[in-house]
Amino acid sequence: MNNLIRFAGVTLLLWGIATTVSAAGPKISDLVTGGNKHNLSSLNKNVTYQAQPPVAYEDEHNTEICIFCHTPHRAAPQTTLWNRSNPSATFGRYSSSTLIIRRTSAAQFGEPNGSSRLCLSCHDGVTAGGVSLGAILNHQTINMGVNDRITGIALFDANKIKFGHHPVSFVYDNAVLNAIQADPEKATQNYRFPSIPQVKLDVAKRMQCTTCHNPHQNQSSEDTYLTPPNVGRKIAPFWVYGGAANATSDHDAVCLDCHNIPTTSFPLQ
Amino acid sequence: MPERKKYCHTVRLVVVCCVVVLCSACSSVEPILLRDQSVNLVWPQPPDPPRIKYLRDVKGPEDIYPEKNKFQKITEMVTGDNRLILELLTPYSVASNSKGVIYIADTTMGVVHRYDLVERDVSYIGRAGDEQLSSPVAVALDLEDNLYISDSVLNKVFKFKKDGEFVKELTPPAGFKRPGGIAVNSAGEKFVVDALADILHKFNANDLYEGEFPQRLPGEELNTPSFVATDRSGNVYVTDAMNFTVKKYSADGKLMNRIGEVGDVPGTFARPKGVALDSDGHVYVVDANHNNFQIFNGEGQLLLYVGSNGERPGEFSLPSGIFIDNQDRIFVADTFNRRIQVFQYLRAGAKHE
Repeated sequence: MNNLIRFAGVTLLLWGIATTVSAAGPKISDLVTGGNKHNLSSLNKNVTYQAQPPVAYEDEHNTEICIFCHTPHRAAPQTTLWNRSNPSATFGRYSSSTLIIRRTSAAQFGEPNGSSRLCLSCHDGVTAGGVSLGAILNHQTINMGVNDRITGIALFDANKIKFGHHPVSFVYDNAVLNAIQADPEKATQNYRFPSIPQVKLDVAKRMQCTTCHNPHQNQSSEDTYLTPPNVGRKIAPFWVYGGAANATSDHDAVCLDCHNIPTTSFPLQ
Repeated sequence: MPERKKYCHTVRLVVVCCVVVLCSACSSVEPILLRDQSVNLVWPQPPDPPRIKYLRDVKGPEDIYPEKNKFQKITEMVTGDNRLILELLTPYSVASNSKGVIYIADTTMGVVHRYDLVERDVSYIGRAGDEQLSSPVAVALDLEDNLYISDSVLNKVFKFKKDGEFVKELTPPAGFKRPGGIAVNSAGEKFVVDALADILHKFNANDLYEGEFPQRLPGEELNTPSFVATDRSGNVYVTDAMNFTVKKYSADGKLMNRIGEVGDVPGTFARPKGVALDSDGHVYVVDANHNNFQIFNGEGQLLLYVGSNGERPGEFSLPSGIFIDNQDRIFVADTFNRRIQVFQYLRAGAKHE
C-alpha cells in the first residue's frame, strides 16, 4: 500500500514537473499573472509597456485586448464631404483574422499579404520592434547568434543564412514544392509540407509569420533569458511549438518540419 | 532580384562614408518632372471637382538620374559606371526642403536617401559622425534646411547641415527611449516623438531642450505615439497610434480635439501613421492597414480618402510617412511597394493645368 502511495506520489510529482516544464508562455488573455507582451491593454501585468488605465469613457478600449491588432468593424462611416456619393465603403481588408482571403493565383500582388500584414503594420521600427520586421521581406540579416541560448542548427546566423531571414507570404503548394524539389541545389534538403499540427500554412496555403510564430501565446516553455544582456527577453519569441520543452529543440523542430538545414550557407541561391 | 539581395546584404558595409555623393559632375540638366503624363488620376471622381491629383512615383535612383549622353556612355565603357545605386528598400518617412531636395528615411537599408530633383543627383547619408545609422525612421527639415534624422535603434536624433555635414545630437535630459517622428514649426521649434515614453520632446530654434509636450493629463495620455506635424498657427498634431486617433494640441500643449477613432470605415483608423497638413490646413493621415490617406478638416470632419491596397498608381502597400511641401505636393512613403508616391493638392479656385 505504502509502495502504491509512493508510486502515486512520484507519478503525480513527475506529472507536475512535466506539466510545469511543458507549460507554454502566458496566454494573451491571462490577466492574473500577465506577462504576454502582445496584450497591450491596461489590465495586463508584468510587462514593460501597456496602456494607461482608463479614466474617461473615451479610454474604455484601453482595457480591451484584441483591439490593438484586430480592428473592430465600425458600422457608421463618416460622410466624406468632398465625395458625397461614396460614404459607405469599408477599409480594413485585414481587420479580422476570420476573413478568408484566397489569392493564390499568379495575379496576386506582392508580399506581405494575409495575416503577415497585421504583424508588419505594428512591427515597423517605431510602434513595435527596434528592428523593423521589414527586414524579413527584404532579406536583411539579423544575427541572433550573439548571447543566444538557441544553439540549434536552425539558429539564424549571418554566415549560415546567407541572405538573411525567411521569406513570408508565399504560396507553398504542390506546384511550389515540386519546383523546389526539382532545383538541383535544394534537392538534398528534403523539402516537404509541414507535419507538426501547430506549424500551419494559412487558408490560402501561404507561409506567413504565423506559420512559425503564435502571436497569442508562446508555446515554447523555456521562455526567458536569465543572463545579461538579455534578461527577461523571450527565447524563441511567440514560438508556435513547444513540444520539446527546450527553446533550441522547439526552434529547430519547426524549421526542420519543412526542410533540412545544411551546415553550409543556406539557402544556396 | 539576386542583385537586389546583394545590395541588401552588403549595403551596411558599402555605406562607410558620411555622405557619398556621386554623379556630381552632371551639369545643366532639366529638373525632374514631377508628373507622369501617362497617368490621369484625380480624387474625388468626376463630376465632383478634383481636389487631389496623382503626379508620379519615385522608385529609386534611376528615376532621378538624367539619361546618360553619348559621351558619358563612351567614357563609362572605359571607367565603368561609378554611381552607387541603393534602391529604396523600406522607405518609411519622407521630407523635402525648399530647394527641391527630398530625403527618405529607409529603416532596413539603414540610410537616408537624398534625391535632388533639380540637379538630378542622388546621395546617401549612412553615418552621423562616427556612428553608423541603424534604423532611421524619421526625417525633418528646419527653416534653414538643416536635416534632422531620428534612429529608433540607436535611440538618437541627429542634426545635419544641408550639405550633409553632421552637426550634433539632440538629446532630452533623460535620453530617448525610442524616437519617432519629428516636426519643425514656423518658429523653428522641434517636436520629437518618443514612442515608448508616450510623450514628445520639444527643442527650441537653437536646439535647446524645452521640456515635454503635451501636458500630461490623466485619461489623455498618449499611447505609443509615432508621427507629428505642425500647422501655421503652431498647433501640433500627434498620431496617437495605440489610441487609434490623431490628437490636435495648441502650441502650449492643450488638447483641442481628436481626429478619427478606431474602426474600418471612412473617418476611422486601424494603423494610423504619418500626418501632414496642406496650405489650407487640412489634415492628412496615412493608415497602413487601410492602405490610404484620409483628409480631414481641422475639426476632424472627413473630407476625402485616397488609396486602396495594391501596387498601381494611387494604391498602397503598408504606407507609413507623409510630407506636404510648400507647393502642396504630397509625398507618401509607400513602404512595402518600395516607392514614394507624389500627389498634388488642388486648392479650390486656383488655376490648374
